[in-house]
Parts: sequence; structure tokens; C-alpha cells
Amino acid sequence: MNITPNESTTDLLTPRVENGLIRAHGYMALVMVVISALFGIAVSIKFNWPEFLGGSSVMTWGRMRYCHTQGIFFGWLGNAFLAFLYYAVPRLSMKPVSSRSLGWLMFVVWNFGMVIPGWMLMMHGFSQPLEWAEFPIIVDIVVIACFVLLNLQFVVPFLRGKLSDLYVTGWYFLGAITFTTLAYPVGNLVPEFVPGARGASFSGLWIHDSIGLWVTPLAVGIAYFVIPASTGRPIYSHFLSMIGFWLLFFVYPLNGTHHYIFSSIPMEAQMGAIVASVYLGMDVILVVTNQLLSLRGSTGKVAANVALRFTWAGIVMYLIVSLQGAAQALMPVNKLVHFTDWVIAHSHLALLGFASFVAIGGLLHVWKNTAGARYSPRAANWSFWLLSVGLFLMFIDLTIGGLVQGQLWESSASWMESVNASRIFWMTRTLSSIPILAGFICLCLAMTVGERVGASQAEEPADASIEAVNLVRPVAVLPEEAGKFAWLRSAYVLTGVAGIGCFAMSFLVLAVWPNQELSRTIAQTKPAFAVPMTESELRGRAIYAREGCAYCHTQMVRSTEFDTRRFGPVSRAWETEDEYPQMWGTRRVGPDLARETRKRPTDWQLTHLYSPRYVVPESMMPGYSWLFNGSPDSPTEDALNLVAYLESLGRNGVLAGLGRSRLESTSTMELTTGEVVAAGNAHTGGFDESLIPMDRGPAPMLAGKWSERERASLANDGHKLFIANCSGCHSDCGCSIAPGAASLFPKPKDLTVVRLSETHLSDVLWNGIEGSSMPAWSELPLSDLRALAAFVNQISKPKYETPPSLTANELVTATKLYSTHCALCHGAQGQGDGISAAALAPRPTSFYDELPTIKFAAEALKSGIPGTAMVHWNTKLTESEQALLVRYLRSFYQAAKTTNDKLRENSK
Amino acid sequence: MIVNLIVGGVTLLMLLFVLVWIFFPATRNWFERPKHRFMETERMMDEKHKS
Repeated sequence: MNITPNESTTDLLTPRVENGLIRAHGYMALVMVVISALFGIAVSIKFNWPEFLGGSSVMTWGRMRYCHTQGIFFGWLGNAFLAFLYYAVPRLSMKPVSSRSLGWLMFVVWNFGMVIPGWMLMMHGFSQPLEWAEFPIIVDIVVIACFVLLNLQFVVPFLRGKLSDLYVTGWYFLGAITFTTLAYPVGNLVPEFVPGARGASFSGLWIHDSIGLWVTPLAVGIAYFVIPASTGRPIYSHFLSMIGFWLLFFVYPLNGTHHYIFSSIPMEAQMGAIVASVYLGMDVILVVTNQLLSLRGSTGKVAANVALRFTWAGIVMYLIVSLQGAAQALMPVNKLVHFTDWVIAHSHLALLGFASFVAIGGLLHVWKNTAGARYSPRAANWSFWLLSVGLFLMFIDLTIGGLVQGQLWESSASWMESVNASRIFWMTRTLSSIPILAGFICLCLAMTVGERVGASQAEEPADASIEAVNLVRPVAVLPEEAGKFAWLRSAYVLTGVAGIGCFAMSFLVLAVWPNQELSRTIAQTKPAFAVPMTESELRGRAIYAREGCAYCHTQMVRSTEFDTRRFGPVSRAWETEDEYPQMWGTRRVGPDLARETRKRPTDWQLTHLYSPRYVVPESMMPGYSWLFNGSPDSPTEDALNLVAYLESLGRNGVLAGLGRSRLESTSTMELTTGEVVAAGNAHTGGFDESLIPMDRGPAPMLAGKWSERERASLANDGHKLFIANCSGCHSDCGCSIAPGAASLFPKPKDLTVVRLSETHLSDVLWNGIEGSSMPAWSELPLSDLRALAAFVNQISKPKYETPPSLTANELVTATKLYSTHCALCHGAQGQGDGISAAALAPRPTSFYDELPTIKFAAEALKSGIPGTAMVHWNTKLTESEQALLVRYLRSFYQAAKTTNDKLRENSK
Repeated sequence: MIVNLIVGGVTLLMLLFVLVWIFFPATRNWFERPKHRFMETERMMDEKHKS
């Protein structure tokens, strides 16, 4: 092996340090952090301008979101940690790392066999829709191979030394590498083979283990290294540091299920995760207190030494984020903030604030002590302040945004109201990315320009005040003492074994046992008639997964009152039993889709996919135009499959009668009452949704006795609401010429050519029109609905004149024609209640409630109405017959029961 | 609840370490020795770099 003095040094006392590998991983970390940050910024911009980088499947929101998280995790932090490991492990173990060649092999595989191919694959649609586990399985195998190599490279040197004398940083590094090697396959591969809720209990563990067993111990270990090395004083208490270490490794693996509070995972597992989360918060107080006590009297050094300042800021944020995490695991807090931007603020504080700040502190410390590296304290100082300002802005902004979202979701406000309320927070978040990106660019400058570090380390003003020799206080244990407490030498090792045992226990308690419980619950509650997904739906599911839909739309109605009110019956464990892997999701930008079946017609779904703003004017969802051949009414097979999947969500729940007061499945009939209660409690956490009234009640009358002035004012407000909510389909004018209208069947009603009775208009606004794209708007405040009704009346009202009455002969002929051709559907009195009406969706028009213009009615008779049961009569009726029928059916309209004008006339 | 047992067990284990630390003061040097060894190593490595 060629060893050049500049690259590494070797003698009997000091182990060889692989400076080349340190620099390689350090430079790669810089490249990766800039790319990963750019992915994140692009994702953030898309919240404000959904079509930014649109029109391309590769650059879509979901795929770039995958690249952002995995890039930060493996590309940035992975390389930064590896650089530090190459610097620190020889110092901690007093042994060189196992092999330089292995190191270069690992460098190549880590970056060019894992991160970059992982990005390419995810951008081209090969991914896994699981938080922090987005790499596809082929890359997972590379990751696992890398972790095996990490053990060979970094764990073996420790094992060759004396573990009983190992400094706490070494313990953290050992724990991080060995435990993550065990946790990664469980969290990344198992959910591919264990479906639904059962798989979620495994993937939930990894969501937290990825942070708790990889990022956290490495960052805490680095802090324990950098603090004494920079201040020249040993840490406050090594004893406390070890207590903190063991508590972290014993308790952290028990946290993961707190991502699925109020889910169908057994409540006992959820409660266990909550207990462990709070306990962990207490442990972090211990760890950070010990670290801050280690900095006592070093304020000047923290201010002057940028590496130390980054580390100090990182551990302060570690304390904040851990206490925040413990709090948000508690049910009352979780109920409010889970799925909101609060969680995004939390995760950025953890990964950017805590982990990245400490990693930067570690990198800078390494850099100024690594021969051949360039280091600029000035650029590093700029990096610190820019990153701090950006992070502070982002954290405060998203935390407040999350609280606003949580409050709105808890209320009866419409979903779009929460989207609109979030816009300012999303824009501020995007702005906060400017100083963050600038901070990372300064970091790149700090590590690539400036004075080259030579044989002597780069010194900052603070370094000059360190008198290392005087501050070190070697402690010798007397021989008799050593013999007396020899058992303690193995105590740490034994505790280590216990730690691995505890780690295994965590999987038993939070994954394997809930799995068994869930299997039993599912066997008891899954209806025998549950319909499996079709091939088309399964293909659609794969598209849903690859586009990252699960990162904006959850598929888990939680057992909370407002989730149930807003989205429908609580999700049962058996409902996702065919889902490999589960896509419950961890965030709601859009509404939950677990009960999407029968909510919208296919044409609406297709139009919405093509361009969401066609049908939801204020939507911020990106369009998926590459799933279409140029227009929403020309979908590709992929689009049809995706819509088929969306329409299947919750189908079995409907078949099983969820939401009605009845037993959940036929199989429960064979169970005892106690077993039924136990099964029910197991999958809804004891939450009794039957106590929540789900019926919206009849439509309230939206008309009132308004004065002309009030009516005009209402209509004016209604116009604004109409543009915000209805214009996507009906156009601003209500004349239904919007682009989205072209691909909807039936076409949205042209409100300028029909007049709806006030009862009917109230009903349509309140309940929607089944079989059409017209949704129910009952979630809007009553005042808004009244304003909308006033506006709709205003745009249709001027078009009408009192219809001329029919002569006796015309009446006889028209009655005969109507009875023969129309009454079957429209009913004898034109009330839309003919014999066939019940089977039709949308239901036939009630002429009693709806008055068309003569022109529109004639056109409908002549050409039919596509998307409804109304066929064209052009070849069956003569023009005069059609004209007569138009006049006849208009005579059904009951103007008297509609207007306030009539009431006013009566009062006069 | 099994998690409570684990958390309780871990607490007892750590309490055991604390009791050892309290009632056997002579062990404190042993517990704290790694941090001083670490400082010594750092000093040695720094000197190696400077030389």
C-alpha cells in the first residue's frame, strides 16, 4: 500500500488517518447538499407555482420530493458523517480503519452506486412510497451492502481496541453503524412484503430509526468530539454521557409508531410509542445538559470558533426538536398538528438544524485539521449566519402554518380554506430557502477556498487560547482499584449486548406483536365479500406510488372526530390488507383519499389529473399532463389505471357498510360480544365513531327576504366565491365555457340558460348532483352558500319571460307526446320522478324546479345531453313536436314557490 | 404494557450505574477515564500533525 506523507501518517503510537478519503467524502458532501437543497427548493416553489418545471414526469413534485429527502439523508449527511468517521475513528480506537482500498470502494459505491443511481431511478419512476425509505429495492440492497462495509471499515477497529476504555463518541458511532445495519432492512424491505397496517408497524419504526439510529447518534457523537477538541477541555461528565447514550439506544427504537397515532395499529403499541417518546425527551435533556456544561466558560470560544459555534447551535436545536417531538407524540397535540406543516418544520429542525449544523461543525473541525484541505473561516462564518437566519425563518413559518392548518382542519372550514390560508406560509418557506442555499454555497467556499491547511492545522483566533497539555488531566486507575472494579470493564460490553437485545425487543413489541394482533383483528373483521383490486387498479396504484401522491394525500382516516366528520368512517386495518406497501402517508397537503370511491365521477378525476385548476380553480396540485395525449378527454392507459385506483379507495368499506350503524362484517356474527368489542377497539383505538352524527341534514333554504340592495350585495360576494370555487367548471360568467368543462360528462350546467327554483338550487349546492362532477358544498359557511345562490339567481334571472300559454289543442297533443316519450324518466308532473328515474344518475331534470330557456330546451331535445340518460329526439320527433314539447315542459315550472318576489307580492 | 416494562427495566439498569457511581466513589475515575484518554489522544494527534 502506497502511503505518501501528505496523504496519511503512520507510526507505532498514532494510527494512520486516511486524509484522501476525508477530503473525497467532504467534497462529495458539498456537491450533494447543494443538489439536494435545489431539489427541496424546486419542491417548495411548486407549492406556490404548481406548474413550475411542470409538463415533465421526471421533474414532478413527488419524484423531486423523494430525491430531496434521500439526497439529504444519504448524499449530504451520509458523506459528511463518513468524512468525520475517517477522521475520528482512528483517534478514538487508536487503530486505523480496516482498509484504504475498501474505503475507496465504499466511496464509489455509496455515491455512484447508491445516491446518484437512486436519484435517477426515482426521477424515472422507480421508487418506494415510504417516508425516508424512498429508494427502490435494488438500491436498498446497495445500501445494505454499504452498511455491511461500514461495519468492516469502522466497527472492526473498535473491536480490535479496548471497548471498556472507549470514549462516548466511539460508542455512538458503534451504535449508529450496527443498529442501522439491522434497522434498515426491516424498515425498507419488510413493508414490501407485509401489507397495509401490518407493514405500517414496520415502516413506522424506520421513519424514526432513520433519524434516531443513524443521524442522531452520529451527530451527538460528533458534538461530543468537537466540543472537547475545540475547547481543549474534557466533557463535563463521561458517566452522564454514557447514561445518555444507553438510554437513547434503549428507548429510541420504541418511538416509531408515534407516526401512526389514531391509526388501526393496536392502541397498546401506540401508547408504548408515546411513553417512549416522552421518556426520550427526558434523555435528551440529560445529553444536552451534559454537552452544554462541557461548554461552560467557553463562550468566547463558541463565538470565535465557527466549527464549535455550528456544533453548539446544533445541540441547542437538538434539545428543542426532541422536546417538540416528545410533545407532538402526545395525543392532544398529535391530534392537532399531525399531517400539518408543523411536522415539516419539526423535520427540518431535526435534519437541517440539529443534524446538519453538527455535521457542518464536524466537517469544519476536520477540515482545518486535515492536511491539504483549504479552509476559510470568513466564508464559514457567513455560512453559519445565513443558515441560521434561513432555518429560523423556515421553522417559525412552518410551525405557525401547521398550527393554522390544524385549527382549520378541526373546524368546519372547507379544505380549500386551509390551502388558501397556507399560501403565505408556503411562500415564506420558499423565501427562507434563499439564505439557506446561500449558506450552503458559503460552506462550499469555506471548504474550497482560503488558505490550504498544511502540516500545521489552520488556526482560528480561538484555537490560540487552547493550552492542551495543561488542560488534559490523565487519570490512572490504581492496580488494586482496577482489580476491584474489573467487572465494570465488561459492564459496558454487557450493556451493549443488552442494547442489541432491547433493540430486537423493540421490533418484537412495536412491529412483530402488533402484526400478530392485526392479523387476528383482520381475520375477525375483514368481510368475506371484500373485493380485491383489479389489474388495472394495481397498475394505477403503482403510478400513485411513483408520483409521490402519498406525500400530499393520506389514506388514513384517523379515529378523531374531525377526521371522521371531514373524510368519513375511520380506516380499518383490513381495508389496506392488499396494499404492498401501505400508503397511509405522513402529511396532508390535499385531502385524505381513503374514502374516495364514488365521491367523484371518472371524467372529473381525469380532468383534475390533467389540470387540477380546470375543476378546482384555487388548487395547488401539480398537473399530470404526461398521462394524457394532449387533452383531459384523451387519457393514456396510465391515467385510466390511476383513476381506476383512486375510485377503488374505500370501495370495500362502502360494501361493508362502514359509516352505518351495523356490524362490520359477516364473520363477526360468529364471535362473542366481548370478541367483537375487542376487535373494534383494536382497530379504532376504542374510538366510537357511531357517536358522531354524520348526516348533514336536509339542505337549508338559501333564499331569504332580501331587499334589492341586500340581494345585490350578496350577489357581489357570491360572484367572488363563484370565481374561487365554481369557475373551473362553470367559467367566471357561469356559462360553462371553461376548459375543464369540455372533458366533463355531463357538461357543467350553463347557469345563464336555466333558472333553478330556490329549493332546488339550495339542494344542489348542499348535496351536489350525483352522477355529475357537481360536488356537495355543504362544508362552505351558510353565508357563503347564500351569496352563491344569490349570484346564480342573478345570472339566470334576466333571461326569462313568462312563457306563453298553450291552446287546448296544443295542450292535448303535448300531453300525449310528453306521456309517451318523457314521463318514464321525468315523471307525469315533470318532477323528475318517473319510473326509471331512481336508476339514473344524474337524475332526470325536474321541470318543476328547473326552467330552461326555449333555445336551450330545444337544443337538448334535438341533440340530447351527453353524459346523461337524455338521448336526442331529432329523428323521433318532428321539429314542431319538439317545439311544442319545449313550451309544454316549461309550463311545469313552479315559479310561485321560488321567489321572494311572490311572497312580497302576497304581503302587498 | 410491554413497553412500560422495557422503559422501567432500562431505568433500573441506569439506576444501577448511578448507584455504583454514588456508593463506590473509586469507580468515578474509571467512568471518567475515557474522556481524559480522548484528550490525550487528541493532543498526541495534533502534535503529530504539527511535527
